[in-house]
Amino acid sequence: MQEATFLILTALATGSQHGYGIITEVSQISGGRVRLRAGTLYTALDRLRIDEMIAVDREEIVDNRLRRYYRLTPKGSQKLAAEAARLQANAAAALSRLDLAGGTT
Amino acid sequence: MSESSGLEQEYRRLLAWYPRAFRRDHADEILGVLMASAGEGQRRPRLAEAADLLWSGLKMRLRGPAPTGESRPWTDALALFSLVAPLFLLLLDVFEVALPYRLHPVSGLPLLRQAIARHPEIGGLSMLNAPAFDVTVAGGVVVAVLVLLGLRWMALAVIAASVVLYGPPVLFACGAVLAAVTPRRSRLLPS
Repeated sequence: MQEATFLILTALATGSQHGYGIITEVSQISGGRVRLRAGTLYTALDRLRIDEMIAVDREEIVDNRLRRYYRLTPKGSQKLAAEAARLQANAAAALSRLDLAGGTT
Repeated sequence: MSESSGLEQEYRRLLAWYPRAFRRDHADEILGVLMASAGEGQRRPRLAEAADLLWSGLKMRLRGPAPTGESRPWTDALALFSLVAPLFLLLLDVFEVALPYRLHPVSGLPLLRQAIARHPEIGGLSMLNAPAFDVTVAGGVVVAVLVLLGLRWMALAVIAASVVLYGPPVLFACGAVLAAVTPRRSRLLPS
């Protein structure tokens, strides 16, 4: 799973968001490191929708503009949880090995 | 206000790189995001932003449309044809024009002999013609890429330009391109 995809799913984990909301949320989650561009965001959203990991929650018109809210599907939550567990296991392994190496030198 | 609508026009132009179906569903939505992300008083899209839109649009074209849920034998057949036709055209270019020229008549391949019989001028060694053959193959590559991206009018324009160089085969090429991109690819096919 690409980092952008992972962060988008993470942004949606707490509730539905519209496009711009996802961008600001992702920026916040990544500590300002990842700033999604609109093109990239919608390529990812399209893929996630086709893969049924997200779905359109509702649509609103704000300032004459269409806002579409997206939410995680059960399948999306499941995939995100699995990916998070995988990353956590990797990170834990890396840290414990670094610890070991640090202990011997 | 007029400043921001100028910016919006620029964004709209960039969104033309996206497939039509995607634009219909998402253009206004993406415009909203783009305008919300735009800086105060910004009048033109930033370069990185424009490149991102262009790249994403082309990627989306390669990906093909989302599944519509209607899959009939004929849509699948046409979808398959739309993948095969441009590649076939390209192969035709290579076999009919480039190879006979490069390999010359002694080749044992009957296909090449036939091609040379039909186009005796190709079998000749006139070096003057060499660039034209390379152009044909390059043109075939360009047409194949454009068709696969679904940029059918650009593909037709390239073919139309080649009418100047070659006659009747071009009509076949036009027909194949038009037929090929009409249904677009279905998701049932590997992308």
